[in-house]
Amino acid sequence: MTDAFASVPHEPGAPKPDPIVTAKNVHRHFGGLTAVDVEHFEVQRHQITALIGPNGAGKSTFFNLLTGFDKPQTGEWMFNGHSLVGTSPAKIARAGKVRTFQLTKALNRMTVLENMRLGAAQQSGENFFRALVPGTWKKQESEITDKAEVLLKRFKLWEKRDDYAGSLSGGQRKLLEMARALMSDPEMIMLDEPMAGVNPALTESLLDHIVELKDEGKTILFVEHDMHMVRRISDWVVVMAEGKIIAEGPPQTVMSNPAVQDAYLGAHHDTDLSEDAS
Amino acid sequence: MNLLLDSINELFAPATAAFALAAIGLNFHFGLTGLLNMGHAGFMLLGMYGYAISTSRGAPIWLALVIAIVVAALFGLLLGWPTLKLRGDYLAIATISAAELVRYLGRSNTLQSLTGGSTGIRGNDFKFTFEELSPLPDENITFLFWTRHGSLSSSWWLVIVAWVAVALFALLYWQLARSPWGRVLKGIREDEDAVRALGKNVYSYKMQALVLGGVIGALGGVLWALGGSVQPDSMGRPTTFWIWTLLLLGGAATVLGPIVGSMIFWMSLVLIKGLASAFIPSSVLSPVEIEPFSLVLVGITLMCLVIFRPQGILGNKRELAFND
Repeated sequence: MTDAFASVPHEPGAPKPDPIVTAKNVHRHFGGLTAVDVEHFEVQRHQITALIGPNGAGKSTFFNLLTGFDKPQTGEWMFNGHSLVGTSPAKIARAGKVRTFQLTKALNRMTVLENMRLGAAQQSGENFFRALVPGTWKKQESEITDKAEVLLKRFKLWEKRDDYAGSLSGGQRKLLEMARALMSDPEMIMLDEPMAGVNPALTESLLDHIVELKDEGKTILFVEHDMHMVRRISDWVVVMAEGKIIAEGPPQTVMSNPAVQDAYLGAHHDTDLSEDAS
Repeated sequence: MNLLLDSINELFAPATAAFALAAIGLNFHFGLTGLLNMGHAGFMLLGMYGYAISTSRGAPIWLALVIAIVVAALFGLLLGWPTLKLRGDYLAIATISAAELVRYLGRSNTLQSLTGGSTGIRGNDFKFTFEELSPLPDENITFLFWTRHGSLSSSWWLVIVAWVAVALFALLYWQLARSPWGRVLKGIREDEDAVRALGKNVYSYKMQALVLGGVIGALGGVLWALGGSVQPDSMGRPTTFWIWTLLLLGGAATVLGPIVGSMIFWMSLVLIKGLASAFIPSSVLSPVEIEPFSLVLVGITLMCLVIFRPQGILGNKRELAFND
């Protein structure tokens, strides 16, 4: 699967043959502190891209900027050739780029099935006046429920469908959030630390699910600290440090890049990355 | 025996229906959407003013109702416009002060010609259009043990209309809460950002909920006024808190919670008042002190309820409890 990146140079900001996301000169600072200063960034379509970096590298802020949850001071970024500057998070999601959160946002006091149904896009019953006439949305509702059933079975949550999402374990909530994001058939899924707080028994199935998404033709960008996961599933790795992209490359080689080692070892002597690098 | 009949009378009194209706409006705000509207009495008072002022200027009843609705809707839009983009606490601050603002404006001398200042608007100035519609005879009617006038003030006619209105809006809540529209609101209650990430326009939904609940509150205010008069000071902060209490008592995010809560609230008020005046000698508690005393007792009862049954009487603890 590495052929998509065959011609891509292993350097920061490298252009990709078929980018779904392109960002240029994105700059975000909080007061005097520069959080994100990205000159050029592209994500290859139909591939799994990992965004890694030491704590405070600006990964999550960059993630928020790309999904409209935060606004940069300058910069422009495109999705599928359309500029997303000043676009609201909801519109970005409707355009086909859906995200999950580092701190899982399962809607706790709604059932698993209702969580899933909420994820579906363009529901006519979400209009106030049509909501009053069940005839206008009952059919779509049962279609949505069928779709939710397929996804829940795939993510092994079908037995939990009538439980409140708040009663699920941390890993199950991650699965639910991912399944819910899939309800709208997005082209691209952005996962913010999908492994955080997940019980090791569920890790493998979560990884398999992410690879399956790629096989279905979706594009995935994820932020992660777990290097095992990064090496196992990503096709391309982008490394950030101090708000900038400092390296890019395939997962097998990017960690041996001296700039990456400096960024990690300079700031953290005891992360598990130091073992990886040895 | 008389006390028992009095308390049962309170169960279906127009005031109980008026508060139940207002609480249904608040249930759209808090139970469904999680909006902290701390100025519900402001919506009610605006509805009362809208209805009473337009009627006393010669508007027919349907127009007066439309005006009450429009005024409350505009108030909701005005309040929501700056605050709904911010965190929930800001809406609470804005609504509590805006409701007080409405009350102070209403009782100020400058607007006396319109609102009647602090004395308000007399019932006779605006109740006639409603009372003329009454099909019931123009005399006292005794039904089982209870006697009310057929069509004047707190009449059987008002009892019927008020409870029909409560039933209709409870049905509306039921229908909307189980629709996809209601599902988006529940999602917003749980986590706005998650709902945004799923592509829904959160601001617009919060605005719809705020306006709808506010309009229902205003109609509750109109029912209240039809049983008596428009009194700005009867719609102060305590009223807002009573409505909150009875909503939480009955169970937020339920269809019947606001109704059951209102019935129990008003009934226990009368019951406690009656028992206190019957059993506590006037040397210990003078008659004027009984009213505040019964409110204190109601408050204590409600505190116990919130501690021991935070989801309210009908509520589902897993869905919406008071203290989680």
